[in-house]
Amino acid sequence: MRVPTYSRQTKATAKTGAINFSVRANPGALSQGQSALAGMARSAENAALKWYETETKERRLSELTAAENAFKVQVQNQKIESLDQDPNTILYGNKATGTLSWEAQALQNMNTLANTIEDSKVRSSFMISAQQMILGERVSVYQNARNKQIDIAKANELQAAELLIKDAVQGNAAQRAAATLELFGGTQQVGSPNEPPRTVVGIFDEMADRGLITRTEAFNLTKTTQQRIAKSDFRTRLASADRSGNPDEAAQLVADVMDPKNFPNMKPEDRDTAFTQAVNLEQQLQKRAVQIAEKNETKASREQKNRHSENARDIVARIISANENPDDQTAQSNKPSSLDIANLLASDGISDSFARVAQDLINDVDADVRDPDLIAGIFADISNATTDEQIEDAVARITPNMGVGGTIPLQDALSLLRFADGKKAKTIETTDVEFYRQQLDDITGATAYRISGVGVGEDEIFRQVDAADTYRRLTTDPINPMSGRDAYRTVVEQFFRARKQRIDFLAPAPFLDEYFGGKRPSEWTAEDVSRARIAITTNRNLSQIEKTIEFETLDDITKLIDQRPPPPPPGDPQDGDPGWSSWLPNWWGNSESLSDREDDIRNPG
Amino acid sequence: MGFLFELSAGKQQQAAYNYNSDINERNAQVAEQQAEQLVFQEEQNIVDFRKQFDDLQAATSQAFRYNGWIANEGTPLKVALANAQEADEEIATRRYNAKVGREELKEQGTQERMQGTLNRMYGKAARTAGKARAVNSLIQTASAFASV
Repeated sequence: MRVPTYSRQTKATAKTGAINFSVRANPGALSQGQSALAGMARSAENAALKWYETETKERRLSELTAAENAFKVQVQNQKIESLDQDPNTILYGNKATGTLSWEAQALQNMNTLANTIEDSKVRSSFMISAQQMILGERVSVYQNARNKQIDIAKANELQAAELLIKDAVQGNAAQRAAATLELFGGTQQVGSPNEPPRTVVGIFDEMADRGLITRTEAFNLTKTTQQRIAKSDFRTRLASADRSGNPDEAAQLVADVMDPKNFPNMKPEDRDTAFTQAVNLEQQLQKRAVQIAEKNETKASREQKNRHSENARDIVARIISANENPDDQTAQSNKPSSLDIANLLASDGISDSFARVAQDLINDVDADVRDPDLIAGIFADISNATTDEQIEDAVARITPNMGVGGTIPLQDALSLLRFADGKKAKTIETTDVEFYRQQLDDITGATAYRISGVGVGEDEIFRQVDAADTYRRLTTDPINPMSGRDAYRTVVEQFFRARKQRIDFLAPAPFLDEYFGGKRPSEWTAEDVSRARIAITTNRNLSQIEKTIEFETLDDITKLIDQRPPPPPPGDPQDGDPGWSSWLPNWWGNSESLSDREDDIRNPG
Repeated sequence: MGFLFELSAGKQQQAAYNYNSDINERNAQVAEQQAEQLVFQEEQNIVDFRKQFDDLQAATSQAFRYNGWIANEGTPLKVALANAQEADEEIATRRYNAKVGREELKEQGTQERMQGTLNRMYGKAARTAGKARAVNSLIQTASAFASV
């Protein structure tokens, strides 16, 4: 039997019991926290840096902007100031006054401002910016300065050109030649004839050479100036012809201006205008010559009229003076004789008609009838006249109505003539008289009657005529004329008093009123009137015209006394006294009794 | 608002890493258990082997006896001693191998635990990164606001 044996079956393992670890730490994953923290730190750092950068930038920018703005203001102010400065000073400065040029001043301002900036980067940026600013403005300022320089030079040259034009137009021949040469250029012989002539460049071409104006402008200025001079030449001749008043000279100018050879530089349209002006002047001068001739004729006629009028006035005055002063030897010797009248007529000193009147007056033959209406009409015409011719026309109506068969007495004629003289001389008194005459016409209703012709009775018309005549007499009294205002007041008072008394003339006259010492008209008697007439005649203080008026008034009062009915028996009611039926109006103050009427006369208005 | 998402993302990454770490820990424990079980199982096998070897020795003695040999002396004894020597060596080898296997498994457990540790470290780093990213986001937002 086989003996089993045992051999070990298991071999010892070669393994050591240790294994290779496959665990590996992931650095990325493991460090992601720190990496993130690092990122966070970076972010924080970046943010801080960015903030600092931004803040710094902002601060610097702000500082730079402030400095730039300040400098910009300085530059602008400097630029504005430069507008009033001399261009040479702007460009190059003025060492005499210590003034810097514009650019140097700007740089100095820039440096001054830059020194106030602490941050070097800002200062550097500001300097760059400011220099650019100066550069930019300098171009403009210098351009303006140069333009101004050119403008000044241009203005000076143009002013010189204007003076030359003035010489060329208004100067004498030598001045004209010199001015024309200076203006338009040419050659001029200087010194001996053997020497070459001097070439002169025209002022406008010279301006173009200097660059003050363009060639086109120079050409235009030259042409325009030539045209101006030609036009002025024509005007000079036109003015000369006008001053001479000679139509032939104007006709020659017309002929000259029609010929293109004359005034060769004149523009065609100017030539047309000049031709028209010359023709017009010729016609005007011809017309003027005719007018002068006519005027001379008119003047001679007017002088004749004045001469006749003055002589007539003188003759009338001398006749009146002689008549009023029969004892005055001088007045009598001055009285014109028939021979004087004949001589004056022969020398055309008086008219034929006045010669006849004067002859009558010398022979004490005055107008036997007085026409107050005519006299007042002539007076009104003189008053209303606005020209000397109208006054003369009114005065011319006086002479034919004087003397035998006339209606204007010698005194009235002289008054009218003197009033006409005053009117011609436009004296204050005459103007005053005219004004109050119109007022008188208005208040008496004469103006209204003249315009409308209705509304008044015959007695009112008589009163109006008498008022106008009285006013005229008072204001034109040859010896003692009353002022317009006083005459107006006097006549108005009398007019309304006459109207209340229902009499168709003005009464009482001032002298009569004084003479009767306030005696009532109802008490006047024929004896009173006779005594008054003697008193007027013997009164030396009254002028002739006043005496005439007083006599006329006395005549009218006499007529009233003659017409007065015999006095009623005593105790009967007085004529004019109101009846019992009128007790209420009397009581109310509207009494028309004689006593009231007398009171009204004494206290008019 | 971005910073909130960054924070949340960090937390979630940490949670994922922690989860992986827990798995590693379990794997480590499994490996350790397997190591112990391997030794235990080998001892059981050794016990079984001893029984089988006893049977073999008995058979050997029987064979000797059958062949007329005295089983407790001489060659039979030497053979028996040689068999025993071999069996002892067998057992020792087996125990050695089991111990080596156990150490390997323990090593695997250690490795798993190390991986778990790493995962926890990763998680912590991820969370830190999330926080940092969140703060970064806040800084960027603040910076953007400041520069407006």
